[in-house]
Formats: sequence, structure tokens, C-alpha cells
Amino acid sequence: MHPLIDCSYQQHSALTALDGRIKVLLVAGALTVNLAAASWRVSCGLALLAWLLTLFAGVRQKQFWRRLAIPLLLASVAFITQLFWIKSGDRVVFSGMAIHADALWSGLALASRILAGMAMILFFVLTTPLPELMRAARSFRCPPLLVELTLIIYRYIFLLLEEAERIRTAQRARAGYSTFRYGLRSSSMLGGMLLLRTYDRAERSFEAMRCRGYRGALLAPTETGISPGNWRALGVGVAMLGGLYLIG
Amino acid sequence: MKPLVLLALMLGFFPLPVAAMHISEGILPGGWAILWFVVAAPFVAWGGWRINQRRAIDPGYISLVGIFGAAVFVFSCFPLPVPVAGSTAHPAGTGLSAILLGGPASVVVAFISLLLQALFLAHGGLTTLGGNTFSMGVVGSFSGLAAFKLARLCQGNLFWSGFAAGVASDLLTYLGTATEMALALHGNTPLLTVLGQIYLAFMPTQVPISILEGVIIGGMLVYVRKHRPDILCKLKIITAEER
Repeated sequence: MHPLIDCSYQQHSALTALDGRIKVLLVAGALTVNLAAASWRVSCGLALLAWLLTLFAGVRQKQFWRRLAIPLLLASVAFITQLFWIKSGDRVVFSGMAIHADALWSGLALASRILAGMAMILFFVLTTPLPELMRAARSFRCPPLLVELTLIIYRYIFLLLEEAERIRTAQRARAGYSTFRYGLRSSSMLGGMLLLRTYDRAERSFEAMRCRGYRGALLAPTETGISPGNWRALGVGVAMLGGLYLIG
Repeated sequence: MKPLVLLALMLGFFPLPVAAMHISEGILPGGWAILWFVVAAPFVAWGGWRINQRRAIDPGYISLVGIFGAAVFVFSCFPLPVPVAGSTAHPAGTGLSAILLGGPASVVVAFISLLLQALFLAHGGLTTLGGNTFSMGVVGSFSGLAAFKLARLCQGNLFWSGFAAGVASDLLTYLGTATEMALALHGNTPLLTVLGQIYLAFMPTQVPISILEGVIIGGMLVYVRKHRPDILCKLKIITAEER
């Protein structure tokens, strides 16, 4: 199973402490610049910025690069596809194969855009807890139903993952995955058991929510103002993004 | 033919099936990213409206949708062995959530799951969330549900109806993803050629995955009917006579 990314181990870094609303605005701005500029220089600049920010935030580099491995692979595949699909511009012969110059530039722009986007998202996720993101979503008037459902799903993912892992371990101990056929049967049983337990848990959870005063909507915490330090961080971030866009 | 062979080799031998169903951040140019958000938004709004409608009748429905959403997320995180590729892949889960919750609510669950997968698993992306919601949420959910209902109409038993939902939702999700990618990336190669290349390149791994997902969804439904048929009755998946 894929390990989930979380930022629980770096709660005290300066970037983790930055207001979630500011981070949402800056990451949205960075992703917009990444797409709008459509330039490999801008994308490479953004990827470098994201990496430097993770260093500053004290993110474990092993985790950052491990997470970036699949996007790197996807970026290489995307680069290669462009070599075959774009047939305009000067022809360059490379290892006996004719490649069009436009295809090279387009592939480079696409690959760097993927890397920059994923690096920015990784920086954001590794420094922002989900409840903070949901608080920001509420401030930006995101529909309450989506926020509420996201929080419920997020709350139960970890519990169900643990439960599913326990069932799977028990099945493994009983040779449930010893052959392909047994593996399929065990996977179906695991899914079925998870559904049954989930259903019962949903009923119990609703009763518990009602006991704690739930009347059809989760209460939003009182909104606080944005501190001057956060405004300054937003200003610096916007200036950097603007500068990068102009360079591109 | 050469690009097709190369793509098939890359998709078959690299561990891409893990993330191939999701369009990664940055792949869609700005215009396409916005367009797919605009296309997916009405379906998400429709799903939200339907959930609110059900919640007005049964206040516990929201926790049921949330926890089923989490269960589908967890189900989609478990690796399935793919014999052809020699690697593992993940079920999509949208066919299952559409059977359990209905098409519109399943779109909302898919939207939230995709957001969480982009954030916590680095699968997919934020600017591609609209495109992924359309292919996995809208196409995956409604095709799975349609296949399930059609199989039930043709007197198919629960296992084969679940199997049909799993296979249809998987293969059509890939068709949706391939279409979105081909539209955005085909350059000056004809669109249909690129679409065919992408879709066929996925096939060596995706056909076994879709069959496995179909078998597992069918098996899950049979397991639930055997142990707690009342749940399937309450969700209107089977009738009281079929218990």
C-alpha cells in the first residue's frame, strides 16, 4: 500500500505555522503561473523554489525525492510522447533518429511543468495539515457539504486503513494470498468485510455525532484575522511569482 | 506503430499503472484544465444537491456517504497483482461507490477522493482535478452504474452485475483519461491516432486490472448479501425477495 504523506513531524517549522489561507493563495498562484507561462524556464524556477522551500521548512529530503519519483517517471514518458506527436520545426538527428526541434521544446516544457506542479503540491502538503486546509476552504466560501464530507472521509481513512491492514494480515497468516485464486477470494472478502464494518461504524458514528450536538452541519471555528507577518509573506510570495512569470 | 510499441513498453514495464488512471499535475495546459473543471462542476453540484436532499430525509446519510467514501478510498489503495505486467495496480473504486451510493453522490465522493489522493498520495494533481473528476467520477461512476443496472435488467446475478460494473467503469475511465490526454497533447498528429495509441498502450495492463476489479466487486457484493442482506436492501441494490 502507498504510505500517506503527512506533515505531522514538522509542526514547528515557520512554513507550517504560516496561515493556511496564505499558503492556499500562494500555491494556487504558483500552479496558475506554471500553466500560464508555458515556459520551461518558469517551471524549472518554480520546481527549484519548491525544493528550496521544503529545505527551509525542514522537510526530510528522502521523503520529498521519494514522492517525486513517480512524477519524474511520468515527466519522462510525457517528454518522449511529444517527440513522436509534434512534427514541426527544424529536424535534429539524434542517435540516428530525426527529432523536430519544436517537439524537443514542447517535451521539455511539459516535463518541467509536471515536475514544478508536483513539487509545489508536495511542498504544500508537507507543510499544511488537512484541517488547516479545510479552515482555509471555509474562509474561501467552499460549499459546506464538501468541507464536511472531506473531513469525515479524512477522519475515517486512517481508521479503515488500520482495520483493512489488520484483516489483510490475518488473511495472510491463514495463507489467504498463497495462490492467485486465493488472493482474489481474500481481496473480495476483505472488501466485503470492510463494507459491513463501515456500515455499522457509520450508524454508530452518526449517533456519537448527535450526542456531541451535531444538528446537520459541522460547526466552523471562528475566523481569525490574518497577521501582518502573514500579509508580508503573501507580498513576498506574489512578488517572487510575478518575477518568475516575467522572466519566463 | 513505433510510438505505440514504445508507449506500451513504458507503461507495461515501469510502475506507471499505479498512477496511470490519474492525470498528473501539469499535464493539461491551462485552457484544458479550466474546461474540464467547467464540465465536471455541474455533476459535482448535482451530486451535492442529491446528497443534501437525502440528508433532509435521513440526517445519518451524510456520515454514511463519508464513511463509504473513506472505505472506497481505502479499497482503492490496496494493491492488486497484475499477472501480465508483473506489477501491482489499484482498483478505481468508482464502480463500487456508484452501486452503493448512486451516480451523483459517487461523483462527489470521487471528487473528494481525488483531492485527497492528489494531496496524500501524490497521484493526480490540483489543476487536473477537473479532468480527473470527469473521467473517474463522472464517466467511471455512470458507466459502472449503467452496466450494473443493465446486467440486473438482463437477469444477471449479483456477482456478474458487480463484475460488469467493475469492468465497464475501469475501461471507460481509461477511455476518458486517454481522450483528455489526447485532446491536450496530440500536437499536429491526428487526434484519433494519438487517442488510439494512448488507449491501446494502457490495454496490456488495464484489461487484467479491470477484470480483477470486476471479480472483486462481484465477490464483495456476494459476501455482503451472504452476511448482511439488509444493507443491500436498504441501499436498494437488491429487492426484499432476493434476500
